[in-house]
Amino acid sequence: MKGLLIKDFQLIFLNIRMLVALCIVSIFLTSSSTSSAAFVISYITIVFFMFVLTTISYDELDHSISFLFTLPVSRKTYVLEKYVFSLICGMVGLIFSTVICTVIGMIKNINLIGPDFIPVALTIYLMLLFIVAFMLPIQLKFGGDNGRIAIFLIFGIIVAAVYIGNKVLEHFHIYKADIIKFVQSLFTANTALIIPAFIILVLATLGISYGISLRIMERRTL
Amino acid sequence: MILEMKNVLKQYDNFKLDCSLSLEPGCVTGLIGQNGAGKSTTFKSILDLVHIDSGEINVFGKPHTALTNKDKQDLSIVLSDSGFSGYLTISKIIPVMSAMYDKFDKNDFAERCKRFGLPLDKQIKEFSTGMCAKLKVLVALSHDAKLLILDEPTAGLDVVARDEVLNMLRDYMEDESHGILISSHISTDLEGLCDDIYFICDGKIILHEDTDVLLSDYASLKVDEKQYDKLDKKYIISVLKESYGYRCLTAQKRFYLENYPGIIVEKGSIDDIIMLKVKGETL
Repeated sequence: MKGLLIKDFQLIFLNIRMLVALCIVSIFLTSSSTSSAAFVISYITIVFFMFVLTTISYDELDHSISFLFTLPVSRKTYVLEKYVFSLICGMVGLIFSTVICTVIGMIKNINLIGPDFIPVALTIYLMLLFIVAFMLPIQLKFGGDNGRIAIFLIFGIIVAAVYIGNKVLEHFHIYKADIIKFVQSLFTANTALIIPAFIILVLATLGISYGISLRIMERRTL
Repeated sequence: MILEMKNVLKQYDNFKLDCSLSLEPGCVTGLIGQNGAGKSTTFKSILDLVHIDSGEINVFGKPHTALTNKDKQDLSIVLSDSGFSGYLTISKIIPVMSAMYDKFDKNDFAERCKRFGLPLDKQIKEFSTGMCAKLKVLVALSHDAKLLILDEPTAGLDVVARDEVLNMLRDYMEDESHGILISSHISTDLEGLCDDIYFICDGKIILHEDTDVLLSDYASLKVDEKQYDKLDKKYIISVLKESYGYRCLTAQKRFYLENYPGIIVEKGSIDDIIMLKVKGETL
């Protein structure tokens, strides 16, 4: 797996100019509020997570993926590496965004790293892992470009399903506002449990996602 | 036996692979056939890149599906249509290979790349076809694998580079525990390198013979209509109608040389054998 990780980091460094552009955009778009910190973290971490999907596109290009499996790499190692790489990339994104926030704070003489910085950063990291858990199997199934189309289609289907579900519930006099209120009451009653519960949810989703990705890769003809 | 394929079947919509072959240590075995004959499918099935429907493939005495990453360190494959991402450079490949193979010698690899005129810091996608082919072979030879599986390794190489690559393969075979399974369109490459050759056509192995026997005993007989009528056909393998009469493939050159002094007997070449086996009518 070490070799695959090195390869993927090598591929990420191809986008070094994009990273520089990210830093410049971040500096221009921030103000002195905490929401600015959240923006910088999510903006930069999303880009780092997108790098993971980009490496799959690079692997697919010119059938390079077939060659990878002629090396001492099993399908299981390949899939596991993409998940490990996602976790590392997200973490690097978080560290990088923290550094950027600190630098921006020094340049603009503002304090972006407030007391709620860590919970905000952790929440964004977990949310993005949740999305990655959803996107990785699709990318592995459909490949780079087709994968992106598939993601748009699936998100479209989810939005449509939510809309239709909402209409159906309204028909039975169950309203969206009531559901939101119920969920909020759950959270306010158990504040201390929210983050651990979210971590467990994300880990479980990643586990299920890994299982699906592995099945996809094992069945795939290369 | 380093490699053994027994009754391997793979069915596609318009194509069926039905292949059995074996490779002994110390041997170079060639697989030759037209485009689309099933060479790449055969190679890919060995590493389970293509899932077979039935049959058995054993590599180093183990089922191919049970090969561990450690086992795969003893295996090198050159695929005709894929390699490292074109966005990487040789300098970037080196740490990847170093992390994957215990026996990878990075200094030797870098030195060989330089000797073959491959720039270390240029993206592979900028390489010419010949440079890509050389790089694939150098990568395959870089970690002292016991088995090399090479799909068209000399494709796109000029005569000099081809000779260099073939010499590298000959050097590699000085260790008698090594083995090579190789396919090539350039039959002279195989004639000079292989101990035995399998001919594949439409997914089926149609002939397997030692290269020495192919070159010494096989022949192409050129006969007109009259000569053909009088010809004893018990040693004729296949016949192809030509403008002057018939061209016949035999594995008993001496019999026809001794008994039919008037006919043209041309020494067997791999190209002739393929042509007559594929296009000719089997008797």
